[in-house]
Amino acid sequence: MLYSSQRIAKPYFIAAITLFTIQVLFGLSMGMQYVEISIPLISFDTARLIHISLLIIWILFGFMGAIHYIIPEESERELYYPKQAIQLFWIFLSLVIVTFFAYLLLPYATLAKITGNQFFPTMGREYLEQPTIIKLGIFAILCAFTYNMTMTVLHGRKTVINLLLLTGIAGSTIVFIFAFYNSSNLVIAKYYKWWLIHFWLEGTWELIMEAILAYIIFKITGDREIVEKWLYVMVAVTLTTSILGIGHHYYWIGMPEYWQWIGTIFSIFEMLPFFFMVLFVFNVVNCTKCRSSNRALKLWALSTPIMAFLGAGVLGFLHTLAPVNYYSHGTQITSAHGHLAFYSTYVMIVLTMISYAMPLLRNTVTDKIGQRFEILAFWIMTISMFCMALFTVIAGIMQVYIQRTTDINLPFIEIQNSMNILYWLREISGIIFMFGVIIYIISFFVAEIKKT
Amino acid sequence: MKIFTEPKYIYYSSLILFICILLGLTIHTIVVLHQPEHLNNLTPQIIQGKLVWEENNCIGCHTLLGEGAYFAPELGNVYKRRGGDNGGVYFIKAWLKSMPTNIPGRRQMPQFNLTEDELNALIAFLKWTSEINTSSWPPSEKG
Amino acid sequence: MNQDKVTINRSVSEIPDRKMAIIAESLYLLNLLIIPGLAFFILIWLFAKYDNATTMISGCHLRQAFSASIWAGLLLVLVTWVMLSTMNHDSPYTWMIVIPYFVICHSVLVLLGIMGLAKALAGKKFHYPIIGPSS
Repeated sequence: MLYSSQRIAKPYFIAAITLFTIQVLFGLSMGMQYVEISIPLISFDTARLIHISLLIIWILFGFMGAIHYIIPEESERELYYPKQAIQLFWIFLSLVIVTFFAYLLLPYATLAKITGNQFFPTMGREYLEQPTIIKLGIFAILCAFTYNMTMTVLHGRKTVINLLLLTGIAGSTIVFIFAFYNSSNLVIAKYYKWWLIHFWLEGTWELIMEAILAYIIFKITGDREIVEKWLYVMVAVTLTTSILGIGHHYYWIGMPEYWQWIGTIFSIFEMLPFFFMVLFVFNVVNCTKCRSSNRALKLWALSTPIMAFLGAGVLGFLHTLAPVNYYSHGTQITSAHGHLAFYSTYVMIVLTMISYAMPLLRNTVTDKIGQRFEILAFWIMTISMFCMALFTVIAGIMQVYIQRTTDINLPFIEIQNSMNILYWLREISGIIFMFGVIIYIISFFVAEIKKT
Repeated sequence: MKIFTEPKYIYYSSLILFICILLGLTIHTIVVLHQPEHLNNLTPQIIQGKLVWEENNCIGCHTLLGEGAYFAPELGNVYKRRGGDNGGVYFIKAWLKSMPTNIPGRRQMPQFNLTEDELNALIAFLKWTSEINTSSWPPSEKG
Repeated sequence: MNQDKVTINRSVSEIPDRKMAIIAESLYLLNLLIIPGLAFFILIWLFAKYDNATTMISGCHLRQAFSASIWAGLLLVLVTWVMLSTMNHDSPYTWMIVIPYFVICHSVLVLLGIMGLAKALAGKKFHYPIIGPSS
């Protein structure tokens, strides 16, 4: 660590890990409701609300931490507004805590009334459940954050990595404007909702992910030139494929039918960024001497592209073609893809960054025991999440088969009940995943802090 | 390396091309969606129904046109599934009023205590949604 | 920062026969992804035409890609065919086994191919675990 304002990353990472743990707990409570309805800890819709809102927010925390760490180092200067950066963290965290308790304690309809949703309706859409005022708050925070980072980069050294991070966060901020548009025509509302969700998850966030991955690989190998060349390729492929790849969300929601062709064709190419990520990592890491002694970091950095290839690439491709999606749309297959894709791309890249930055921030670089715990946590989390996705996919295939291809006239609930065993297996995988998270957290406490 | 400088221009031009295609298709799609045969007959009741749908977080358990949570049945076609004009209204109303069923071992839907006005609006919204041209999705009436 | 520029082996592109190694691994991937069959025949032709017994990397990658392609064909086509012809098509359990098997098997083979290609690009040898010849 070279610059003191990089320390701001630490509270962001701590908040991210804490919110991650809470998110997993709520996920477990939802899994329980799939199998054991008689213990309703919390109603399903509230749990889901918190589960997916926290997911977006904690990954945002993780990204902000990573960017706070990378930007000063790449720009070779302190942050432009270091004090405001730490204030922004506390504002963001209090906003999240307020929203969390509002979701938990108030019925959603009451929350909508209190925040005056009927005057400017934006709530109640998947991923965009936040009250309008909270959305405004998030938007303001993103703007302030982007401004600070832009000023830092403008007054410092410009590299491919920090310019790309800047593009990523500025793009995310601009695209977030679509959160405020909710047409009274459901079809048009859905059309623009995907501009936000798709361009975040498959556009700007993917850019941030690639930039962080490139930064980590640069830190492992020490060769900037080759990393930047690969980065150009990955970014080019990501952007050119994902813009029209948005068509794969428009198949069955009332859009003109040409979207089926556009979505299918460009979705095939949306595999390519992940293909190049694997190629990049295994090409670059092997052809130079590894300088880093952090074994856990290497494990995270090498597995992230592989898992992203499987989760976001393969599982995505599995149901992205229009003829296949006709049967799989809106079933457990989507859920399986969502889980593995989020874990393998965004969760893993944030944890990779934490694995790199935290030892430097906490002065535990030489620590071996913590790393051993972290590696164990890595395997438990990754394998259990893989199993979870696998069981959900199998459940999805069964659901599609019974519900959509046969004449068996069973109601939805009966079909769901017949898949109970798979939901049990999924829940057990989830519990094992939780153990992984606990071991991951322990790895920070057993680490030996080197006195300087 | 030359290969990385030359494709730069291919990349920029294709990026601009794709953005232009996206914007063009967006304009076309929105124009199509505003034509009368594509259901732009939005009455205030339907708009109110959409608000009721959103403010009660229905998407937290159900899917609507396949988007949402997969915990409870698809509701894009529920109006038609439950009898259409010959009974869909009554069925959905009775269903919403009789929740929760408290049958053990069965997923429970909460009681939302909607007023008669809100119920009618919600049903009007679901009726409107069931008439959207979804390219014959879902494959089965079961959703 | 001086650490940015570490001297590494810049002559990767000058390694003799690196091109053939890349072609071999690309054909393996093409066979799995875009043109199944056709790419495999080109690979057979290359395997027969060029010296595959050398210790150079082209020989290594040709042998590995050739062997891995045969295994991939057996695992993806033969095993799937056997499963489909012996199991009941009207049962959801058939599809709950066959589809995940095919997807996992195929994506693992593709991942191995990408690693092989990455090594070929770096001018290194590569050994497919289990499905590649040991030498």
